[in-house]
Parts: sequence; C-alpha cells; structure tokens
Amino acid sequence: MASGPVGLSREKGEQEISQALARGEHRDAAHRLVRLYGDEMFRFCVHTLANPADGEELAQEVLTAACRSLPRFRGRSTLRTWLYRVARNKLTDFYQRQGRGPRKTLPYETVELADSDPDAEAEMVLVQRRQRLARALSSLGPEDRQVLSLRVDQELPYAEIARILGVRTGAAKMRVARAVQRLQEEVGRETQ
Amino acid sequence: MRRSEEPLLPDADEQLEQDLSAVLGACRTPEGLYDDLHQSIDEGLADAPAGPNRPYLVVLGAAFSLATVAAVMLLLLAPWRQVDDGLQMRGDAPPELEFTMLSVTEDGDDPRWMHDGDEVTADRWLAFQLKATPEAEVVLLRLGESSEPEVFARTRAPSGAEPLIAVTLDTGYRLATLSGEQTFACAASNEPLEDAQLAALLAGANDAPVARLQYLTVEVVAP
Repeated sequence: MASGPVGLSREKGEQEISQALARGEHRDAAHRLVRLYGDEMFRFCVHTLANPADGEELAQEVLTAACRSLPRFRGRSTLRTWLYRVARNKLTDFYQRQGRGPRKTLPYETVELADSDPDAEAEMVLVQRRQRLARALSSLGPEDRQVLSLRVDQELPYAEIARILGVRTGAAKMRVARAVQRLQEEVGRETQ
Repeated sequence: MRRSEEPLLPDADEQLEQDLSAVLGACRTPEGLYDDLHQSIDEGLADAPAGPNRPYLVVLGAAFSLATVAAVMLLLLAPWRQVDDGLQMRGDAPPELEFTMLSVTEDGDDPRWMHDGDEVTADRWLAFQLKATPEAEVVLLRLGESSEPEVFARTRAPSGAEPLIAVTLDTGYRLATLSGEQTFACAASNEPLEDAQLAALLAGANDAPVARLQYLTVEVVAP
C-alpha cells in the first residue's frame, strides 16, 4: 500500500533505486534494494517456510538473485512485486533442492509475543492467546502462511497480492479468505 | 499501525487481526544477515551482467514436453474421437495444448506461462481433468484461472466399452487406473508431487496445492 509514511518511504526508496539504475550505478541500486526490502523479504521467507534457518538462507538467495538481475529490471511492475516474484521462484527452487516440503520448527513460539508486563493477568491471557495463534499458524500450509504474510504483515492490497501470485484479484481474495478460515479452524483445535 | 480503513482479513474479528499482525510482526531480521551480500555487491555482484538468457532452450524444452503430451493424448484417444455437439474437434491438437509453453523473461528468474504468444498469469496451471464416466465418455477439461473448468476435448469410447485411463507422472508415480465417476486433475509444470498433493488432486479439488509437472503421460488402457 502506498499510503502512509511507510508507503511514501518505500516509493521514495524505489524511485532512488530506479534513478541509480538509470545512471548505471548498479552497486548503489543493489545496496539500496537490500536495505529497502531485506527485512521484508526475510519475514516473508520465514513466514512461508515456518523455519528461521531456512528463511535466512532463502532470503539471502532471493536478494542475491535480485541484485544480479537488477540491471535488467525493466520497471514493468514495482520493484517490490518483482522481488516477490523472484522470491516465489526461488521458493520453488528451494523445495526442489530440499526434495520435500519445508521443515516446520514452530518459529513463532520462540519470539516474544507481548511487549508489556507479563505478570499482569490480562497480559498473560494475551500472551497465551497469541501463542495458540502462533502454533496454529505453524500448522498451516506454506501457501496459506504466504498469503497471510502478504496481507497482514505487509498489508498489501489484494491487487498486488494477485500480481505476485499470478492470479486474478478475486482469486487472491479467496486464497486469503480460505487461509483465514483454516487458521481459525486450527485455533479452534488449539483451544480445545 | 493500520494504513487503511479496509479490513485486512475477511471474516476475521479485529482481535484475530491484531494478534496475527503481532505474531507475524514479531519476526526480526538477524543482525548482519546481509553483510556478506553487501560485500558481494561491493565486489561486483550487481555489476556483472547475468548469464546469457537462453529462453529458447526453455521454450523448446517445454514445447517438446507439451507436444509429447499432446501427441500421446491424441494418439491414444484418436480411435474414439468424434465430433461432439458444441465442441469443435479438429484433426490437430487442441489449440490450448499446441500453443501453451513456458518461457523465461529477460528479467531472469521469472518464468511465465505463454499462450499463443501472450503472457498469461505466472501461476496459471496448464491443467487437465480426465473423467471416465459410466457413459463411456472421456472428458478433458482445462482448469484455467477461473474455478470453472472448461471443456476442450471430449471423446467417446466404442459402443459398450468403458474407458480406462492410466496416468503416469514425471515423479515416477503411477496413478491407479481411473474409471467410472473418478476424476483426475493435474498440472504441467516442474515441482515434485507430495503424497498429500496427489490425494488432493485425486479428490478433484480445483484449489489443491498442485505441484508442477513437466511430463505427463496419459494412457488409455484397453477395456
């Protein structure tokens, strides 16, 4: 989403990268790309794979490939969309190399899920609820976690998610809705 | 923190949305994760032009495999082919099969499906559904972007014969022979199949997490 300070900062960042590319300053453009999207790409990879170590490896592969290809970026989409498409292709390679689906190591349970006083009863309830959600999230398939990451963590509009996934906007909405439904079912199981 | 008034998630309460955002947002990039990458960039990673694109090889490979699939299908189904109402059956392969191929753009690392020279969406599966009905009719359906499969070929078995179809995937799986009301859907691309995905495919789910296949052999078994 382009609105808000984050969106404006991203737009400005993409503009600066495009300008650097136009000047032939590929190294500068690549450094800027990593700084602009490194964190976002890491989270996307970890969310999709549900494994921090694999996520680190994949994020580095994605950005390395993107930096190599950056001089040939034609601007037919935003850099962000292009980067996510590179990520999805690298994800395919990753699965092929692994010869199976991703390992799941419940990464979300290891992170701190509340930033206030855990002694307070309300905060304990909050932490427990979010830990159940984290476990439920880990139980989903990678495609579900991927669309939830794009929609909730990155707050991408459905149209952009659709471009990343290569589907129509309606199909992107449907995928998010189904992921939410499955997540709610998993949360229900965790609660029982 | 929200940047839009539009609900992020359909059919989810605000609490779930907030919790999910907190859980996903708790993921932090390790310190120094990209240090080596920045060093590689300084050493010329982004300066060196990427290796020569050879999309024609991919196109040729894909075209070859798809043509093989088409040829096998047509060859094996040929004795049963008839003109069916509302469906134009010609003497050559269905156009969807002839013209769909995988290409790689100049951007690299960005495979796209091409159809008759035009790009189609990247994840549009080249998919088929084979259905052997009790009426001895084999229906080939194409599953495109929409959830509604479209019929592009229909064949009839000789009178009194029930068609049986055997499908072999490039992963080495030999699917059980299909007959009766069973349906089968598959996709042409290049990922290995997992057992669960096979089960989903056999269940005929249009939104099954289908793996990509490059080689698919459809064989009509003599009844």
